[in-house]
Amino acid sequence: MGVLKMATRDIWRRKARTFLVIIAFGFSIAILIAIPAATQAYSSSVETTIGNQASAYQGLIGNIATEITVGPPQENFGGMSFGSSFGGRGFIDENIAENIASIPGVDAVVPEFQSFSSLSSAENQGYQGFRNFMTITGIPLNSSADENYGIQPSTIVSGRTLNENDNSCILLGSDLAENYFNVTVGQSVNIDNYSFLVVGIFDAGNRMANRQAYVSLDDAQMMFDQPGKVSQILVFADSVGDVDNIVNAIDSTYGDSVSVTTQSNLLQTIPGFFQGVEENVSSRVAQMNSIAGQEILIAIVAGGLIVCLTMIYTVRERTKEIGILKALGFTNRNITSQFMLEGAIIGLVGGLVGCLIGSFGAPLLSSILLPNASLPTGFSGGFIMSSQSTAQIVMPSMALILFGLGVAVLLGVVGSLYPSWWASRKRPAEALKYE
Amino acid sequence: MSEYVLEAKNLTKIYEAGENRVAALSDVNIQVERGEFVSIMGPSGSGKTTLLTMLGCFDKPTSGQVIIDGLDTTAMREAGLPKIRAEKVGFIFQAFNLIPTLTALENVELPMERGKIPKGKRKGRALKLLESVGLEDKADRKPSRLSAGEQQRVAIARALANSPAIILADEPTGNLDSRTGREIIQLLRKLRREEGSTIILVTHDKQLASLSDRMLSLGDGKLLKKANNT
Repeated sequence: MGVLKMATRDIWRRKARTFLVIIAFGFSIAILIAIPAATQAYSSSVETTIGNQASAYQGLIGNIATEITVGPPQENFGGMSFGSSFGGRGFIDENIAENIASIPGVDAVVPEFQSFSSLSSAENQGYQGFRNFMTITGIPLNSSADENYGIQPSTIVSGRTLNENDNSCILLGSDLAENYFNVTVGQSVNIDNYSFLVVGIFDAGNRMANRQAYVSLDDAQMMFDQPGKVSQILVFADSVGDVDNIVNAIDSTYGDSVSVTTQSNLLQTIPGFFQGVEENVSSRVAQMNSIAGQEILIAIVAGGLIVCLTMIYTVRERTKEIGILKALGFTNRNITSQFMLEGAIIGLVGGLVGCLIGSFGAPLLSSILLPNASLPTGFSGGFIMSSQSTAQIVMPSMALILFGLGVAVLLGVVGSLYPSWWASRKRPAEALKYE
Repeated sequence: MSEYVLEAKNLTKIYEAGENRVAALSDVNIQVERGEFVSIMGPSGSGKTTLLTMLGCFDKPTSGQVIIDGLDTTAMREAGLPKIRAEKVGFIFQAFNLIPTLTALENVELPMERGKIPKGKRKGRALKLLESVGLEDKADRKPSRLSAGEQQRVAIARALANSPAIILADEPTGNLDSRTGREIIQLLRKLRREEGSTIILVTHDKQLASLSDRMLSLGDGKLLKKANNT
């Protein structure tokens, strides 16, 4: 009881010194808390970002990979079916689509008619086109696949996409609308003597893509005089696993009269992509952890030294008091425990201060001590694109704070081991002479 | 058990500093009876304080024996000495040597942690001791708020805390004016009567020494003569 009283009162005997020691020690503990909090936040944020990126990428690839294209036989399929619109070749029967739709595992079937129309020079005065033709794609207007698989362009700049019953209507690429036809939504355009009402204008991002137009499948077949024919059928499987079965079923029914292409090879690129990302990420995490480890070590050593030096000073100052205690019959162990208790109290109070500084100052401390730990927001070519600072999300967990407090008390005890031992070894007569 | 409460037999202490050997005490023999008040006189450097640290088991003699209450302390291991110091010896220092962070009461209670007095009775005994040195109303004061004489009285109460077999007082009046000094010695005499303590007083003040039962003189580490005062 007396020993505990003496220990606590001795600590407060020199208030200014104790205050400074506790603040300094507190900062060591705060660093001890803030750094792991920052590395934890960083690692988990990187994992989340990778996860999000992976599922987004997989979703994207998954969509493409479930796509099967059924077109005219390979030998008749000239390049981009460029000749088809003129030669009348390169088409397959539209009713193939209905048959394919009944194959198990097929989610949607979209027959498309795609051809080219030349743009007459009389109508395009001053129009400096890449080629004097436009691509016209005929699509079924009642297809639910449009919603799921994005058959029509989604980047509408004015108007809307084609709806059911939109016969004699057209969705125009912005290049055609602005530079060639010079029309807006609601006006009409004339193509190969067919008149279409412009219901929407889209911007697909580049000039070639913006020289396309979408009309109904019926209109396209009529325009190019190919009733019941389509240039390709897009088949969407329920899942990637269904693709092979569907392809086999189409092959067995139609053999060489059609060509079938899939995108399954795209899937093989996924592991490579993410391996790159993960290697990059793990090397950055490892680098950061090594810096963090060094800083934590320095914080621990500094904290221990602060306590040790303080206690050495205290013991020297109180050598005479140690002599008195020994003269009164206190044992070496009594004296050692008194000074270790003092060290532990400094550790505890300093630890509490450190937890406080660490809890509120962790974002600032970590941004100073781990400037590289800014959080990744995405990946490009396997490299982390980072911009967000860790500061916003670094918050030490309760477990981490308790750990910091434990280390603080331990450091207080360990730091006062040597000074306490030194104090207890003084002979009473010798200690009493000490002034 | 020996009839003497304290015996020093052929006590010798030699300090070695390089080639030099200084005999601080040589062949000192003392016997003190229970309840006796003995004073030891001598000039500075005569070995008075050295003798007292040997008798109080603060230091080991080079040779010879110190027997307290029948126990040969010189034959004991170092680990056994704190118990002797706590239970058998009360020490009064010239510089009072109170613990500055503790109150008068706590200072008196402090040695009881190492003694035989049960926890529940410590405070009561400490208060009673403070009362007997006339400081019951200042029990809650820290040493810095007590006069020199009051501090020494607290130190005396502390020395009596565990009812030790012997009380060793090392120039207890050295830091006090002569009137206060005399009061302190009178207090020691009173307490000896009340508590039945045995007191060994070291002083260079002949007047104070004359208040004791018996005076011993120390010179150059040797006991010069014995003189019965009564």
